[in-house]
Amino acid sequence: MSLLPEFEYRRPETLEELLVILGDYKGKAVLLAGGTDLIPRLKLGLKQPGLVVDIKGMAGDFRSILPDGKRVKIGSLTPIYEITRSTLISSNFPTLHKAALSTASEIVQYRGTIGGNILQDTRCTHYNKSENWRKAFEPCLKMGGETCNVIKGAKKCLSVYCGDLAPALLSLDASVVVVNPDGERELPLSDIFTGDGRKPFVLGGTDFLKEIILPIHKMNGDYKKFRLRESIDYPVVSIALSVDEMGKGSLVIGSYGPRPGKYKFSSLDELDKIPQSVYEDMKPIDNMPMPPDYRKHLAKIFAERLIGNVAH
Amino acid sequence: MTKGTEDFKHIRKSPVRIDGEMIVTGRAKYTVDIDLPGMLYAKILGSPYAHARIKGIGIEKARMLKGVKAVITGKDIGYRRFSFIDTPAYPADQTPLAIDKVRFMGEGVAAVAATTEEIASKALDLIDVEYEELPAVFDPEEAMGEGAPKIHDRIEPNTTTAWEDFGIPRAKSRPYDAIHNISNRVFIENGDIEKGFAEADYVKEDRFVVPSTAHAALEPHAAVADYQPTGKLDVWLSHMGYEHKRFWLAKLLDIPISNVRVRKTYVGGAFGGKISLFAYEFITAFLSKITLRPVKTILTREEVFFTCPPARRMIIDLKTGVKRDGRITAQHVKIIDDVGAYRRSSPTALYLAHVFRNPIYDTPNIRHEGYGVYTNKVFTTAKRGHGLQQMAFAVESQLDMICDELGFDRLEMRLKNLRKEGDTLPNGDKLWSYALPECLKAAAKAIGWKEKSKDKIPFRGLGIGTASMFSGAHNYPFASAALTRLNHDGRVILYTGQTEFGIGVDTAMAQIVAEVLQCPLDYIIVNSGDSEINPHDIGNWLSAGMFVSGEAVRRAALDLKKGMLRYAAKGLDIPEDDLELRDGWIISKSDTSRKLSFSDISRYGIQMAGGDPLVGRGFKKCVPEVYFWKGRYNKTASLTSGKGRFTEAYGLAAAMAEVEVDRKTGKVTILHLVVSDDCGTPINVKSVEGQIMSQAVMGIGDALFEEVKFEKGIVMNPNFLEYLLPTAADIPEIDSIIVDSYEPNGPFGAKEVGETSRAAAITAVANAVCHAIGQRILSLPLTSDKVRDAISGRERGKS
Repeated sequence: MSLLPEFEYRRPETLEELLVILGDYKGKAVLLAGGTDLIPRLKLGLKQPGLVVDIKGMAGDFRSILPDGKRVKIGSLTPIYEITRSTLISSNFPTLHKAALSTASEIVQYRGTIGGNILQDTRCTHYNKSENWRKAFEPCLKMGGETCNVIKGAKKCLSVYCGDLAPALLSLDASVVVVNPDGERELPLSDIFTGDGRKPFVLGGTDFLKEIILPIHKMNGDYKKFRLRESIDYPVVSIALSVDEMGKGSLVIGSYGPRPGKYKFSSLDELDKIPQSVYEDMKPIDNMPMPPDYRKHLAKIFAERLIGNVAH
Repeated sequence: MTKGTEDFKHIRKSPVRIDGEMIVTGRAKYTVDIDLPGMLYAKILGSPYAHARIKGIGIEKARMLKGVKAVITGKDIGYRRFSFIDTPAYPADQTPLAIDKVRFMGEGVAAVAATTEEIASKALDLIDVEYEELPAVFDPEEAMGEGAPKIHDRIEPNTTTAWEDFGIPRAKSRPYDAIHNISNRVFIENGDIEKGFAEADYVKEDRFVVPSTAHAALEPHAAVADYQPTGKLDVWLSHMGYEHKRFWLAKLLDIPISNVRVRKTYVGGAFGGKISLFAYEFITAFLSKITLRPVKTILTREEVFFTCPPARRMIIDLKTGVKRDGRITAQHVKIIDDVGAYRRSSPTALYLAHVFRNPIYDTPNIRHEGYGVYTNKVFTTAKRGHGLQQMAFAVESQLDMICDELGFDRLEMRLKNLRKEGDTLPNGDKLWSYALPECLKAAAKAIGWKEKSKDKIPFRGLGIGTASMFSGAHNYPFASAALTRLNHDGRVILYTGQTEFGIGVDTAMAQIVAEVLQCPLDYIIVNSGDSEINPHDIGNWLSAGMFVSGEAVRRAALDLKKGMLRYAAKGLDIPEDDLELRDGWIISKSDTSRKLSFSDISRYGIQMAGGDPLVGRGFKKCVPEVYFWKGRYNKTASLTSGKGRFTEAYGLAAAMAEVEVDRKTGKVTILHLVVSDDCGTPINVKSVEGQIMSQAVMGIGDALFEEVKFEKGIVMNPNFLEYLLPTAADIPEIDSIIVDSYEPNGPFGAKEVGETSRAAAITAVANAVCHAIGQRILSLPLTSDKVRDAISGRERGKS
């Protein structure tokens, strides 16, 4: 069994306490919610935090799915399993419901949270490996080095964002509430992604993603992912599609690049053209378990199929 | 007695496993559970290079770290070489830690023992190794070419082989020069290959490639060693047979083999990968020897992928000739076995690749050539059907191709070429039991072969696979013994060297004793897996467990029964032939009121028969006709020429699969998989079904998902997220059919069951996929991207 490195551990009981800790540690702390993304990274030596802040025990509405007028608020510590069980979600946001159901496996869904899933770090076949393994290669961009071990001479890290929930949430025009010692702000979910695999999110070391807000707007939708096995696996490619009664909506591709690829459309005719655009836009980078051309092909096929199922 | 019709009390039944409660309540002790007072923890430093000279190793900083009790390098151990199957011609080629150079990425160069695992890990970071990187070669065909980097210098043998120890009369072990990086060869010829191809109406030649797959035992590899200053070593290992382990531990530590005690542990899966000694096991023992404290090593999953050998990688060039009537006339096989950094069991694997196909199709003219080739990758070993599934994939794929070209029905063509019960194979082995035709027919019926063959649905396909497997062979340790001891409470302790590694062997052996003694199963206590308490045993490999050790157990029970009847005859004053064992009594057949309990017999023996409480013994040799003893030998099987007797019984299996392929993504869905296994009498029906099922699941992994991937010698998927074991969600309904033939040489008619079905399942699935898409894929696994490429290749060809 791989060993965890040594780190300081704190378990705040209130949001206020958390914000004080984050303020004190100024970016040297990492947040531990479900831990399904963080713990393996700690064991692999990909993160060496001075402090791990366990936020599971914080008092407040962090583990709830609540209606709020024309919106639904989901606390960021809500386990993915709760999302799969919520009728509020399944009746209003079928895309998110399907995405939650297909995330990892049921056991991981019990533990993994929506906030943690959204802020899942990007992945690469040459990065998500042990310290020992990585010694055989030069330190890459994401490790803070100068090279890319996938594309010779690359200046930008194109490690892949593999979260299942974000594509669905993006298709539903979700926004997020972020708190830090200076205050609270709401911003569109799409704005938290940087597009750079080195640091995939705009959130800083003192930020805490508190809740996710979904506007209630009658949307039909679905989520489909291609994975190598019928359980556990990250998507090789995934598609979230939400479309309203006017034929407007968004199609979002997951496992697309350092951020999901979002395509808005205002008619079904426009929607029908998206699969080809996806195929042309996706960069063929060999940093995932399947060859890049095949991934591009899958994205197109899956987009076409999902459109066929949902919109026609 | 008619075949398989005996009215058994305990055989062909499914009693609850006698160790089941221990396992499911978490009380069974695995090696990782062993904790001894004062125990140290070991860690091994692996090379970050695939091929490099070691210029120097600085260990002082590591040694100074508080809590570190020992730091060793290869030089401390010295040039003591070990292997898996070493022979005089192919001496052992591996040292437990690299000394002058490393030959694969991850190879151990130094090791630490410390008071905690964390300190041991930290100490590894403080070891400075200076390497000079050498050109490396990863492709076996490149490695055989002119100017390729030389991986091994002359290998000087420095230990005797088991064969020499047992008196093989041929030359002593000799040095080995790996010219063109060739580690070993095989050349087997039966009939006249040129004549065979001349007679053929159609000849097909193809190349098939099978990559490594991992054993993926869920229990992490672990060892605990406790060395005493008296020269006594106790070890707890995760293994599948203690004789090989103690043989090499004794040789490398230079202590008598009887001083090595392999203690009983439960084992969380082995699948053929844990019979030979692992470097980490010896290192653990060596560290215990120099610190005189118990030492424990637990490998991480990544360390297992890096340093413990996966299954063999083979490139197979196959040429087959057939007559217009579908009869196979000749087959020429050329195998390149990419052995990796060390040879291990390649000589055996190349030989087995031939002998495991031999009992299936009656191919009159065969040439079977093979080369083991060193490359700078982790070395390879046996995995559930050593060399079998690689050849099964090649031969069965090509048969389908021939059938397609010539318009033969794929099932009929196979049935036409099968051998028959009673056939004698070219090496002298006889097929006493042979139900492969029945296996094929049973599978065909279950899957609906005939009906489904009539109208092919686009992108649906059917496939067939076959396999055969020995039931023990003349390999060290050659034989098994067993002891039975009657206790004065009437219960019987069975002593057997079999290792319970998850297969239910303890229960099956208890069933055999209870059947012979006609007593309740809970009269039997099984003591197994401890090399000091239990007798000599072949181990749970070579598919020999039931056929060889099971027969030894049966004989030990019969021996005890004989003694019990003898004393009962005296005690009751009844002739022996009027006595029988029934429901835990020795009873008069003519007057059932006259009987003695097992307890009475034991007491009688102690009081009235000179203090004899009764002990039974039994033994069985894998192949009695083969022996070597002080210069005399008779038909020793040759690994390199294939001559000589090999085994006494062959297990056989057939599988059929129906699949559906997504035309656009290439994703395969298995709709139905049927595996029928001719294992002789199933001693424990549930265990046998479990064996068949687990092989079918493993075969699905091989066929569609699994491959140990390398990039410049480094394993690219050394974890269970990237190494794709099928999950429960990927497994279809599987029918496991036991074709209950009767093997006259086996205990109650039983023979091997653990290794055939996997190969049959792999080929059935692969053939079904290719049938579905109308395109042949010549390498495993058939991942969706490969399948999709094949489909689009075909569609491009059409347009």
